[in-house]
Amino acid sequence: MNAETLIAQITDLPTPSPVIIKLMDLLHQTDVENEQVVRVVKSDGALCAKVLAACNSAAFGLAEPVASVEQAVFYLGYQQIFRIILALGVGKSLARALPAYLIDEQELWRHSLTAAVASEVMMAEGSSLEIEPSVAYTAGLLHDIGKLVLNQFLTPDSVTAIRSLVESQQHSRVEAERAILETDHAEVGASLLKSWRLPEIIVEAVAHHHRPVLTPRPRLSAVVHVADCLAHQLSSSPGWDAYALRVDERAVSSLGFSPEKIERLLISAHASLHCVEELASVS
Amino acid sequence: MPSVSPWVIATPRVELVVGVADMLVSNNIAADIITHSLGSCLGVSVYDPVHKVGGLLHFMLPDSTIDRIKAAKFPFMFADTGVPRLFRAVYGLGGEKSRLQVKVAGGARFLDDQRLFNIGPRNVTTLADILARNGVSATMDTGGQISRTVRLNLTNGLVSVRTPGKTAYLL
Repeated sequence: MNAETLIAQITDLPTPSPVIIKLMDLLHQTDVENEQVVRVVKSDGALCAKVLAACNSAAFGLAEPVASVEQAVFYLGYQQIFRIILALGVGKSLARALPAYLIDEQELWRHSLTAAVASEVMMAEGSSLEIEPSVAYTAGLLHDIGKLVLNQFLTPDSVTAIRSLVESQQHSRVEAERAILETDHAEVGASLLKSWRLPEIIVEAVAHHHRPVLTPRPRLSAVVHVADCLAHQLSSSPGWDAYALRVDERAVSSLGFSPEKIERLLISAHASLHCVEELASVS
Repeated sequence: MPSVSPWVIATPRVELVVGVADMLVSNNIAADIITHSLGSCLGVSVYDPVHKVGGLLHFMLPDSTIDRIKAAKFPFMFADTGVPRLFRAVYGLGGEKSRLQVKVAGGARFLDDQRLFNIGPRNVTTLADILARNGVSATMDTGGQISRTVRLNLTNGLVSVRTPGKTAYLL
């Protein structure tokens, strides 16, 4: 069954508001003014109220409560406001328990946030790719969204068949999904994001995060592939056989990362984990 | 005269959670020390059954020489700076080296993880070297493609390991 047909059969799909989709699209464009982003947020009164409530929550520790989106941007910075908005858009969906993957509540959400932070750290520290850090963050955050869809589709029999391929034949999880379902969570996630009309760069990164595109030059999927591995190593490793993940070492070296650089990236990403703590409470 | 209630209500156990690159020691026998979702990281549990004191370290990388400044700030991030501090902290609460029960879990590896992401196996080798150099023996449950949650019960020193989809087992 192909990914589009599968998505068409699922009734309980995560659907962020059009304003959030518009923001993700805006951030991909170059030369976007902060005011433009603030205007989009303010066009949705309910979102505005949620953004302010999140900013004023204890997690962000502001001395004075903020009363407008402009003030929130001033105190917390534009990047953090963007992260809060994204968390409001997809946090509830990603925080669900996924029984077919043996993922408890909140676990996939924390893994997604950790991969998002790791993607951003990689862009800031040494990746030669010219990609906006907020775009890398978004792709990292959404990379496993296909699991929300597959979780609803997987039967106990298909879960058993997938696990048996992983545990007895050394398949990676994504290879086992493909062998049994003829699709996998990466492809399904990309189809979902395509149906939201997200920029192609994000759809590509999610579609290929287990099989990164490296020629003619590495694409964002290579970054998200490594960020996914880093998130697992930062003890955000949910579900059964969480490490049944095949590392594409060509992707790692094509980004110019040595084993020592990988350790340094882990150290840097660890320093940003407080961000995950703050955002995990937003939804 | 008031009647004696037939019910005995047990005090709930305290859960002390250790994060990544962190360590906790305690002599609170009503507590469990827990660390979640160890992947390539290692959880090192140390317990003295006589004094009933113990500690749990969750370290991330083998060798602090990669970043001395970070190691000064986060010594529990690395095996070489974290492990000695764990033992010293347990000694500080009255633990004695000759009685310590040392149990280790974690060190998972990705598939085809031969070179660039070889952190789990390197963590295991480095820790084994440190323990051997100091004449300490340990029970180890490491490797594989699984994540592990470790719980040290300070009442009796039992260390249980839980991995998604499998029954928890004692180490």
